[in-house]
Amino acid sequence: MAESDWLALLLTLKLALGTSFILLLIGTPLAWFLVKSQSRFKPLLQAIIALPLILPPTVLGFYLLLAFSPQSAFGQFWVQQFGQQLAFSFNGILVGSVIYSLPFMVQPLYSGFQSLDKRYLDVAQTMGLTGIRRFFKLVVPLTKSSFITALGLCFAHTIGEFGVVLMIGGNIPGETQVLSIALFDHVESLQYQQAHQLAAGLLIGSVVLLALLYRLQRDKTDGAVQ
Amino acid sequence: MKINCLLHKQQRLIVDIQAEFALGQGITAVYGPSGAGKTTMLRCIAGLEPSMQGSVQFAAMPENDDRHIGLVFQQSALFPHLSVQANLDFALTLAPVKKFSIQQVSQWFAIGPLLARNPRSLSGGEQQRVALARALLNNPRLLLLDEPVSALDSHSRYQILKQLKRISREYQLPMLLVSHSLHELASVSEYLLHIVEGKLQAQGPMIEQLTRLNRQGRSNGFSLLRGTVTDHEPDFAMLHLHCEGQSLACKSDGANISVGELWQTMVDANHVSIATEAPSVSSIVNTLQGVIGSITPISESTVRVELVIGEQTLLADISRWSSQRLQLEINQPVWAQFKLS
Repeated sequence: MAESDWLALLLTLKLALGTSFILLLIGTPLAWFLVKSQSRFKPLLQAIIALPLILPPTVLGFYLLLAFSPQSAFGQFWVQQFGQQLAFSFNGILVGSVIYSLPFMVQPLYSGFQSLDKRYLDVAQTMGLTGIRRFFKLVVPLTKSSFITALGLCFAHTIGEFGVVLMIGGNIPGETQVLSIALFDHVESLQYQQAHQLAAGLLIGSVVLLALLYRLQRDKTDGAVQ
Repeated sequence: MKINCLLHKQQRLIVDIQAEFALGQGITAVYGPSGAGKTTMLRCIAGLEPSMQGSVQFAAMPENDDRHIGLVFQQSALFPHLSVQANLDFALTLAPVKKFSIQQVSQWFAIGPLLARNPRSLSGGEQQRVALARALLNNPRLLLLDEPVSALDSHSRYQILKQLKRISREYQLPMLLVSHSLHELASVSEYLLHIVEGKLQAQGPMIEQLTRLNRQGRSNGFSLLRGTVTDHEPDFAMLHLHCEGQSLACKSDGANISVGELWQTMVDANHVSIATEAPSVSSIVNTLQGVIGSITPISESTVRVELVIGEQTLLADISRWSSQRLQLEINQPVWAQFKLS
């Protein structure tokens, strides 16, 4: 494998890990809030979160590109704060990935929290365990399999990302050139040998990752209503 | 204890209950048909219904609303990711003051051999026993029991209820027991709240409420007799009571009772026979004299006779044939006989 392909692999893993980690921090409270919420705006919020599932990545990429440009208010703010523009940078594709993979974190967690038997929480509350301690001592271990699924899906989905990265990141080796883009690049320049290596690698890697996920789900012992 | 709870869900009234009663030591019964709002009332008391309007007050409850009221459901709700031992540790660690030990509660509910097991591998009855032990270890100020034994077979059901009654009395831990079975409630409780359609329909001493419900034909044929303990014979697990000027014997159920205390015993109507003359010596322990208050046919072959014994009543289910043969009539003095119960 060429040096640029190794670089693309490392960048892809960095992006996937970073995206999964950030989404864990954002998606967990968001999913919990959605489960608890009785608001009439809840369906609208759910729809917005689910958008990346059906929207062509190029649509999302296009709007993100506009938002990231130094002409936009957000783009200006970012440049003032961090001295670097978001478009065509690693941070830019990280932000794009986080938005694009959001439903893959929120939806498994939402259904996990939703099916958690509320009596466990009630019992814990009567025993004097409340708030954040109750969440970490009961909710997290009881919905462990949902967390594993969510993290796995986010990671895998980020690796499989193409459209958004292409729109907002371009094709800069070591900065925004992820595996899927590198593969596209090889095909464009008729380097089929290298393209095969990357394509087969991605295919096998994805199968292994998903098989592991389903395997873990099968062994799950969590607190869903029986 | 003072309960004032009002709860609506989706504009529908779920419960509207105002009640004031002495919690005392022992078990207070909450009776009513399914869907009457008994469970919701318990949830309100436990502080699990944030949209409840009103208040709950009882002597041991502190100002800061840290209620610490235990709750046991019909299904155990043991944490499935923890072993039985870890479930018990969980509750013990959260207890403000450690009053009971794991060893103690394990012995009471015979769960010692289950400690290493996973809750999901336990039978329904075993799970309930662990759930009760867990609730006690948390040392609640008040223990709410929502049909805790309904899923169990009849024998272990009454054993566990008697165990709870003993613990409640010995450790001054008040309990509220919800059930749709009057028989279960009457076997352990001396005070009854009757809930119907989200409202308190009646409340009062169990004996009075039972007589009222019996007269409405609502019980399944049993009565309670109450008296002062005159003698305790632990060797025979037996108590002697002074009841309406007559003597009455009953089982002590292993409870630690002293002479002079009030005690009540439950007598099933089909365990009671009637004689029109003073019976001679037999193995049947109890003979009480009374007069017939009413005779009601309850099936083609059976009549229910209500005997008035002083201020109290005793039901006897006898065959219609016997009733005719003995020519029983209202106000006739008779002798009721029944075994130790």
